[in-house]
Amino acid sequence: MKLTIEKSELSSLTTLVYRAAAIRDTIPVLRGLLIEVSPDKGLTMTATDMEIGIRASTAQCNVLEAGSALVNAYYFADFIKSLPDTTITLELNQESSRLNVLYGRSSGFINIYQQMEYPNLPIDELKKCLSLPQKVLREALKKTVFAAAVTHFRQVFTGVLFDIKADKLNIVASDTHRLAFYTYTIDQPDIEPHSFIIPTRTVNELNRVLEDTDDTIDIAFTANNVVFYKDDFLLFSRLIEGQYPNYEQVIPSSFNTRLMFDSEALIKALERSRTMPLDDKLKIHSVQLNLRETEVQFNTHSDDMGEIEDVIEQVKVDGDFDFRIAFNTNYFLDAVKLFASESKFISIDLSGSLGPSVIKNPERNDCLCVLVPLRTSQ
Amino acid sequence: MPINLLHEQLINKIAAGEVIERPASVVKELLDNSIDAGANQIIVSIAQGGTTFIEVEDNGHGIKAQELKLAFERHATSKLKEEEDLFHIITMGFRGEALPSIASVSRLEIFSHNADEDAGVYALIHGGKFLDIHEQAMPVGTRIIIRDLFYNVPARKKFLKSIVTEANSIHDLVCRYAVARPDISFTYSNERKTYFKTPGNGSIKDVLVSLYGRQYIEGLVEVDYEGEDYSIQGLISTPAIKRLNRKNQFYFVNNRPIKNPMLYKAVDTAYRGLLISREYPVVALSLKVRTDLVDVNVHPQKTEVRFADERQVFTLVESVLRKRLNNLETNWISQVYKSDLSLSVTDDSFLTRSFKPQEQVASYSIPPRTEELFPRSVNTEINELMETTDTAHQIKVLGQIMDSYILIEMDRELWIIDQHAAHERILFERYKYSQSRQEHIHALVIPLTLQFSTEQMEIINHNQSWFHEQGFELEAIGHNDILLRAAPLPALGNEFEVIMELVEILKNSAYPDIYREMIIRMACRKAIKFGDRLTMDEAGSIMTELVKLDNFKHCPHGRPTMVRLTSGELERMFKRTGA
Repeated sequence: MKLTIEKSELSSLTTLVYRAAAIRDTIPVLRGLLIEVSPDKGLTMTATDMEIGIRASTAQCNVLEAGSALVNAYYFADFIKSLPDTTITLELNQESSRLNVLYGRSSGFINIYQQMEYPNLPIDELKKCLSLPQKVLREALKKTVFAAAVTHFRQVFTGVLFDIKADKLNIVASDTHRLAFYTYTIDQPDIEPHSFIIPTRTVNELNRVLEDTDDTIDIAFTANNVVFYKDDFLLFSRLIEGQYPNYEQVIPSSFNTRLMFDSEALIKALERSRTMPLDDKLKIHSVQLNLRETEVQFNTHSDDMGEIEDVIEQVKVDGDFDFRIAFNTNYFLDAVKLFASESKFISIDLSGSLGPSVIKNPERNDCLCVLVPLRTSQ
Repeated sequence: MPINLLHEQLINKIAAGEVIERPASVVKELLDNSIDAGANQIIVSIAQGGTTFIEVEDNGHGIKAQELKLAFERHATSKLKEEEDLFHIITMGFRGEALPSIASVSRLEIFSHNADEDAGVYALIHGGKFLDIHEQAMPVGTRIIIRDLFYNVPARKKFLKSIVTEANSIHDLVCRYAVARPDISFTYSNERKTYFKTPGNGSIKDVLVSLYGRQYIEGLVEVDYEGEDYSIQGLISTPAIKRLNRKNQFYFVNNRPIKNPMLYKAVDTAYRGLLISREYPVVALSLKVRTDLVDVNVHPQKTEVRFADERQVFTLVESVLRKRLNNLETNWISQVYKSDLSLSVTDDSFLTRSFKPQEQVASYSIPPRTEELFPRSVNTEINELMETTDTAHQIKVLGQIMDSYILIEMDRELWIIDQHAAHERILFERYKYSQSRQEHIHALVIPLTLQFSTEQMEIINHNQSWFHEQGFELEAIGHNDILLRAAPLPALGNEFEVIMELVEILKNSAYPDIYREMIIRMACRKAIKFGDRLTMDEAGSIMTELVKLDNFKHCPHGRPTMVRLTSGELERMFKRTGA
């Protein structure tokens, strides 16, 4: 095996792939990065810990001799990243089990694993199920994954739900205290209803490769796995097993009040509120909204440190007002930030001070965030 | 084997097994009878730990001559007439088992003179059989002599403990009765030696003095609470006094000495932060409870009671004691002084001696507690220190030693302060103070269904409101399912485990205060440590903060924050005594 390749090309390919390798050492070979070189496909790299697997390839290289090598993924990635911007030669010395890396007049070598046992990715019978424009999937994931739990005894909450129903793809994430929802109309006829939950780690890896283009990415399933793939790139992931709760029931459809905020002003107020330190307890940042006819007062209080009373004027208030409602500031801010970049206004729909509220861009109905207000003892 | 109806004597022996276990149980039953007979003088004498001789003599109303025989019939009692009475028990005994049970396992002599009759009556009963009964001249009252207990029950006799142990347990029992009924004069003798005689003047304090001596009541203060359904009277010790077991704790419900873990727990909770674990205060608490709110018919020996509303009693006892202790702690320094004074004045007789800690409390004023955010502002603090010097405690910070202790002179004594414990106490109070402010319930968008065992479900259902205080909203939706509607955010993702853990804690202790545990831990973590060097200003500010607090003598774990050397102690060390 031998090839020459520009450092930037090699480095970006490596960076894309290496993170799928196992961190723990239980099965040594899974810590490896498989490098394959062939005249027709160019350079292909694969890494997997069997939970997730990434394969990517590039044709922008000069293949001198076909072959393959398995190296430690993390070391290889670190090393490649540090190389100077020049043409790099990778050459396998089979006899000494070394991958020689030549850059300019310098060189190094990396010991290789015996690659015999490297597992195949479970992608033999790919059945394409659906394709989405990359920018749609990218947005859908960005606007939902933040709401998922990092750890949860009920595994489904650590993932993002893909729910295909008739011509809709609903993407949902929740940590039980909040819920983010995104829906997309698929213009693919006779698609079968199907739902699956992918781990947040997969989502994060996926987000690194998705581009803001209309080019599509395909999705396919096997029994326990999902595969996202496009030219030169493939990502497979174990699915989270379990029944996702009925999210549609959670999203309220009627409200008593609609608030329309200037995004900028709202973010400023919430960020100010969040500067209030937590009292030295297991408390949470919270902000109380006092709704008036044309303005909303944001009240933040700490027994130790002080109090902020922020008034946002010129809020459009439709429906009931003259009540107070409290939110977890961080949750609130997370949700507001989702929409602030795309819209000058943000709408918050409320049902009294206890009912669940919906935060969204008033011009869009395909994306929203559900928050339950805090119940305060005051 | 044919089935026979047991004859009466055997039945009595079996019943005796339940009620009469050991000599102390005989004494207990006889004391109950004497008290129920309205006696105000009871004399108990024993020999050989009560195995060979027990005599209980009272000046109660006595038994009528013709009723004497009936009194030794099983289930004969003058104390209950109708079933209804069982729910309003005001007498000590009521089962009608004592006399026949005792009589069936001993040689018993009884002298009794009913107030309405001209002469008394005498009877001799061996193993439940009347051997003699005749008229006898004697003062009004009853005198029962029991010899050779268990002479006809060798199995029981074999299991008696040593004579000393049995005598001790009788002594202990009579003491408890004496404390329970300060209005009755108890005399107790063992082997012809009189151990104590209580005055019977209604003062628990005087009883304790006659039982344990003058020293015992030093540092005890009175508690007194009068409510509609409950009242609490008694004496409790200041935190300066500690014992290593509960032997010095007396609990009475409606004048009946009882054992009750819930009351232990309530007292421990009241003293929490003042004593460390395995230190127990001295308490003599007499609870008066409306008779339908307490069940004494739980155990044949009647040492246990059941309250209709345990939680209410718990909270009441805890809060009454706590309030009293707080009241006291603010002024503990002045008390040390004043009690010295009052000692010399009233040293003559314990009966005339009055102890009025309340007055001392009133005589001292503490500066009002203010919330200070930055207590370390330098100069003002020192000035303040100087000011407080005149008004309250005379504090002069001398410095820090070993980077661990602060030395001060306060009220002309040398005090050594554990800087970590002191700061811990300050932080604890600060956190505690802010505790009562607003708390959030963090509801779930997606309620979670959780499965629990039946036992766990019971605990959860029983403690719904407690869980709510911790931020959990749980709703039972089946025999083993719970719908979780709200949970505190820190538990996110681990709600199930956290609830399981809480259930486990609840199973082991009655009313845990998780919040308190949490802030104790937090205060401990945030407090300055041993080895932290302090400036004089810092040391000064810690001291000013500290003395403003209630209970400042102890850290939240109950360890002392400060120890002192008095001038007397210093003089002794330098052998200047008497100079």
